[in-house]
Amino acid sequence: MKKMFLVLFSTVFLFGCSSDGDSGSNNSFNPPSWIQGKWLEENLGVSGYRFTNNDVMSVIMTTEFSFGEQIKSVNNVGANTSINEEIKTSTEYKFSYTLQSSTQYFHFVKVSNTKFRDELNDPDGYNLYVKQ
Amino acid sequence: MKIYFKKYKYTHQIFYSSATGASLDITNDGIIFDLPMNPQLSGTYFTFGEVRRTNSKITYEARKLGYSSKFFIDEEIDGSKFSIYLENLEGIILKK
Repeated sequence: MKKMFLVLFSTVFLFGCSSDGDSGSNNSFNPPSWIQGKWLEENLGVSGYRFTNNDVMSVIMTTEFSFGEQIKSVNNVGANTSINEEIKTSTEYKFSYTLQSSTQYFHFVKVSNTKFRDELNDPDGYNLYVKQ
Repeated sequence: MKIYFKKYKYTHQIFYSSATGASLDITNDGIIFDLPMNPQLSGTYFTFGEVRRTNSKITYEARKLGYSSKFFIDEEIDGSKFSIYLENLEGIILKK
């Protein structure tokens, strides 16, 4: 009986653990390790993103906007918020976040160790970002 | 009402670059900027009235959907130029 519980517990524990490849709805951002750091747009280098292990920031010149902080502050006033990390692999990071009824989508694909491209709303092309 | 832009430059730059695919759409739900060269500034803005009016332009205080910071939008009276910028004056200038 004891062994059966041990086997059951181990199975639940093993399959319940999260890894870098996991995805789904969360209360916080957990960007994969390859994307963590500051990345600026290749041509002019004025705008981009910064990723930490628990947040995503939009960089507009010298100003950074934390998506995590925005969500927290909206959540604190009782609004509905959610984060959905749809794809989180060693080459791709796709997520969206919802503030009330509005959802913002982001999709980044690794090109090399120092470059990624965004796959956003522009069907004609993409922006390349360089690691700083 | 949709407006397409031909050129853009950042506020610290001297020369304009080609703004392929950049547009602005004034809707009942706000002003939607589609700026493929700068996804960070793309999005929906809500204006909160005029903060300044000169002979050549009107400045509106604005908020960007999903951002808590204050933005400003300048519109040339003749509609030829729009700017989006932050309180520290960093931003983008779009030309028709």
